[in-house]
Amino acid sequence: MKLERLRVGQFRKFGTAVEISGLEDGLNVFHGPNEAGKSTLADALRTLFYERHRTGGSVFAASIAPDGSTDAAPSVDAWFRLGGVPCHAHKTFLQAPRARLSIGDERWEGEAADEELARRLGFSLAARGPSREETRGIPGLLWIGQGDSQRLAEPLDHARGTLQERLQEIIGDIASSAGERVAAAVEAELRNLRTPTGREKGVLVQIAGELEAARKEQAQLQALAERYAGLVDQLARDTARFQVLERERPWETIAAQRQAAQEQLAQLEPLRAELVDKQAALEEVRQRQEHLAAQRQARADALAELQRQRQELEQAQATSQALAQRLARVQAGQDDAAQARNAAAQALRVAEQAAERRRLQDEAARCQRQAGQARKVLEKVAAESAAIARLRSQAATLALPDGLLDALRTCEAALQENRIRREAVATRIRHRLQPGIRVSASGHADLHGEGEVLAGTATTLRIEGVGEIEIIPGGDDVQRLASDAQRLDAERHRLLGEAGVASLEAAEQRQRQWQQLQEEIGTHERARDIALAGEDEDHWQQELAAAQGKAQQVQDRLQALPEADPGALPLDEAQRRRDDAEAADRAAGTALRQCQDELGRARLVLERLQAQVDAGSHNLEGEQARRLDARELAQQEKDQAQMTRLAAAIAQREQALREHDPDQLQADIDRFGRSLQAIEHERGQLRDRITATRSQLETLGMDGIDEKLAAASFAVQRLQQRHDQYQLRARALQLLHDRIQASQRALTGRLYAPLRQRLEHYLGMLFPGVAAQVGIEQLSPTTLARSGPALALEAHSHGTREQLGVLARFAYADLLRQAGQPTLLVLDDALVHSDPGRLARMKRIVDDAASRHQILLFTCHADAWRDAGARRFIDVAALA
Amino acid sequence: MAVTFLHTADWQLGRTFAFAANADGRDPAAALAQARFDAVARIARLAADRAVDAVLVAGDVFDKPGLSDDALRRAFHAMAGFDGPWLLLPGNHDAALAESVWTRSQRLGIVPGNVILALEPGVHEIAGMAVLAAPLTQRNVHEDLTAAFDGWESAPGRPRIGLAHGSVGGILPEAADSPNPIAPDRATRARLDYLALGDWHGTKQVDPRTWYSGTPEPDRFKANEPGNVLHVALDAPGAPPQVTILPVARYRWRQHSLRIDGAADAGGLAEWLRDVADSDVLRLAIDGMADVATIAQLREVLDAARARAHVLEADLDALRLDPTEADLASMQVDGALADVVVELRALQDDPDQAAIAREALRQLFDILQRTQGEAR
Repeated sequence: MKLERLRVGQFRKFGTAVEISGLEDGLNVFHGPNEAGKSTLADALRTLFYERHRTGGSVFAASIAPDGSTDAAPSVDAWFRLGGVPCHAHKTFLQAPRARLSIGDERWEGEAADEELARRLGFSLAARGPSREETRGIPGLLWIGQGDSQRLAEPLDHARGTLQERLQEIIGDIASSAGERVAAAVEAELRNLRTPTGREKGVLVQIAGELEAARKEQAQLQALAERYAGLVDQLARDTARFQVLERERPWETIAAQRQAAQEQLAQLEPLRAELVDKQAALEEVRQRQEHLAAQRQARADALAELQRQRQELEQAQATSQALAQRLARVQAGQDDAAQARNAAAQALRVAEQAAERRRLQDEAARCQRQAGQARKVLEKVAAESAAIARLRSQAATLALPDGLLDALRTCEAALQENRIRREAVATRIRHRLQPGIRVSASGHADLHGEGEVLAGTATTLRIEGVGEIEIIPGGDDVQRLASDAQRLDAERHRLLGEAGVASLEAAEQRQRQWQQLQEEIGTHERARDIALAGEDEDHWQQELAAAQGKAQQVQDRLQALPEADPGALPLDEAQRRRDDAEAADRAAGTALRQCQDELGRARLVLERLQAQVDAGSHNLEGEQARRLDARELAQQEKDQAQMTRLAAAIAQREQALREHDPDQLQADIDRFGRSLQAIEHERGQLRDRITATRSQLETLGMDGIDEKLAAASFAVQRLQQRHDQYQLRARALQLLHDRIQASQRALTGRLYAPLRQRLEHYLGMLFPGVAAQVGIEQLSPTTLARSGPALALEAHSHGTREQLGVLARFAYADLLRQAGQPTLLVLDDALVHSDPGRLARMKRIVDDAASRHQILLFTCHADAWRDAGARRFIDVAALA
Repeated sequence: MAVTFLHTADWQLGRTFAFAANADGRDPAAALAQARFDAVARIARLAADRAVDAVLVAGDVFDKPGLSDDALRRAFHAMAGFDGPWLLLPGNHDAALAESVWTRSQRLGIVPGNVILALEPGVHEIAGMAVLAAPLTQRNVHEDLTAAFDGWESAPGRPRIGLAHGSVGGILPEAADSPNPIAPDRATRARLDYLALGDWHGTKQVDPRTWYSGTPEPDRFKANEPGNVLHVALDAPGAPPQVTILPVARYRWRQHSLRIDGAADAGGLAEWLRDVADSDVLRLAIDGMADVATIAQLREVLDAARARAHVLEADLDALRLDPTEADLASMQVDGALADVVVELRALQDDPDQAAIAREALRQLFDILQRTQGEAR
């Protein structure tokens, strides 16, 4: 589409008509300051295309009339070409509205003109009232209102249908005509059976529930049927057994056998009673016999005991006598031991005195030695001390006061030094006098001939007949050295005087003599110290006194001792003998006491035995005892005979009974009884059980269990089939659903490829050198990745979004053009947020797009777009 | 002395069937169950019409032991049409156990006087015949109960007729190792004029004197000629029996497999189903390949036949949907859907996925057809 000429009359800013002609292909820039009427032009163009000419109302009027009143008759005329065919559209609004459209030779008027215009440009008209965004279609997308560049979603929504159709035209008929509705139907059917997470639902769950219930019922009936069959089998078994019993009547035989046994047993009864009687009588006699025998045995035992006691008594008497004799011997032994002990004690005392005497004598000798030693020490000490005193008094005469010798040495050395220095500094007076000439010099001998004097002080040379020449040695040193020499000399005199010597050498001599004396004193002192052995003299004095005192004491004690006994034993021998004697004495005492005890005990035993023997003899050997014995003997013989008779009688009866075995008979009777009971019990049980089983079977049988079971099994089978069918259906629908979706995804990718190609073409110009990738959903760019992760469009800056908005529209325009759709791009104050760098690149993009589309760009920044390569650069302010 | 009797068996009264109720509430299974009682009534009428001397029933009068009292009452009531003697033999389905349909019937007092229950082995002298009965007193036995016939004596001059229930060794396809065996030469060895057998549901002659009557009312799809009773005439002891097969069945059970490979085959099916009537119980197993139109045609044919038949079960699970290019075009199967159809067709060849893929294709075309109207 190419707009060539536009005329606007009585429209907002333009009370009088303005016309812009000569619009070109490519970029046409409309510039001017704010309020100059740029937007009025853009809106006029929109109004011409979007609005039915009959649109009215105060809001609409306010948006197009110069004074906002409905009295105006705003009109817009556009001359343009569609596919090279010249077209003219005219609409007058509000007052006397009319519309006219001509395309080539075709003409439309009124409503028809409105409709045809919309159809040609790809939008629809509002049914009534002003146009709304949703009716504006393709132009709504491609004509960007003031500051609306970044708004893409809504305009795109309203143009999507047309865009999609055009896209499909471009890439051919790849989309499925029926795909959408089939996908929706499949999804709907699938969701009846399965949730999106794959859980079964709806009729599937219902049938599964029914199937479960039917299975349960089937199982219950099955169990019941099995129970019924089990009961039938049991009834058969029980009935058969019962019939066998009734037919064979085994209890009758057993009862007859029991009767016979009972009768046999009854015949044996009298014999058994006799046997019991005889057995009782025999037992009575046997017990009496046992009693008698026991009594007689007891008496025999007592007699034997008496005999034994008598023997014991004799033995005890012998023991007693032997003990008395031994006691006498032990008594004598004990007396001897006591005497020996006393003698040994006396000998020990004598030995002890002799030992004491020897000890005291030794002590006295030791004290004498100690006293002698102390005395010797004291004498030596006295001698050394006398020598020391003598030498000290000698030394005192030679001693020089402390430090004097050193002072003297120092003084002498200083004088020597002084002399040397004085000679060094003295003025030398050399003279070579004429012979005979004599010159006197103060302080010196007269000078003559050739020589030299040293003038240490001012020296006056007097030459006779000539006068005096005073030579004054230069410098302070001469003077100072001279005075030092005097001072030192005086000091030396004083020191020598003090020492009482004539010279330093004499003093040194005296000092050496003094030192020799000191060494001798040292020798004597050491000898004295050795003699004292680390103690002082008082110690040795006390030592002497102590030793002498002790000696006296010992001597006193010696004299106090009795005379020495020449026969005294050595002390240890005496002690040993005394200890032996004491031990022997103690042993003898012990033996004596033991002997006495034994004798006492033996006598007690003797008395007791005597009493026992006396008593036993009386009881067992008297007349009475002999008579009792005879009587018992007779009784014993009589009982023995009776027992023999009874035993024979018993044996006879037992033999008779053994032949008939009544115990076995009794056991048989019991056995037969038990058998009868068991049979009766079994019969009763069978009868009861048969009755009970029959009654149960009757109850169960009425219900027709097997019929019900068959019905239940069929129900399970049918439900299982239905469930399988629905499950297969669900799986099939799922398969369809998945395949259709996958297929659609693949197709969408193909559908978007041209759009992506165009978008990436422009993105490459906007971000040169960066492989920008764009995500597309529903024909809309949704994400943008620039050398990084893809970000949602909203995450990008306002400027970037604005630029994307513009180039997305260029991309759509490219696609639409490719599909033969008329394209006209209107950019009203777009790209106001773009920085200079981006704006520069956007100009390239606009230029690129302008090579394919006519672009009307409205801006208040004329300078910013002067270099954009516009074919026309129209000053809107100049139009009015 | 000449005698005539009807030989029948395997009434299986109380048998139930696993056919689902129709959409209109008609219950074909209940009708089939009722048909068995009706067959007994028809036999009674036949016996009366032909004035036979007796009706001999060779076992499996009842289908199962656990039948309701009502079923028992209806059974004996169905016999009311013939007042001559009926001799009923317990078979393996209704063995004469300690408690059985027989004891219950006796207890209920519903066994009419002219109905003789052969609950124990033995000879029944009725209507001029000596009937040697070998009832099953257990569900299954493994010895030949008719062996006893050899030693049983009967009154001279009366025809000896054996009545037994079991498998004749070496004759029946399924007889090997079957319980309740019967020697093939029993009739000769036991000097029988006729041996009336039950258990095999088809009518079958074993030898000139030995017959299976088969069930009077078919109850399965096996094509072994069921649905008859035998009219037996014995002119004199030793004379060969004259056996007439009398059809009495209400329902005809048939099953049919066919492979569809084009619209012509659908026409063939229509032809096959042309004379279907309400006495037909039919099972069809259809496989092969069909396009959308053929499948629609098949469905129409089947729906039409189903309305006429008593039961028509058609298994189309193995039939592959093979849409033609025209099908695809007419249903706007293009773009994404066309790809899906190609995939699903390929999946039909994968044994693991074939069933699901077939169903998915069918679902897809169902949806396409259904939504086509909406789209326009």
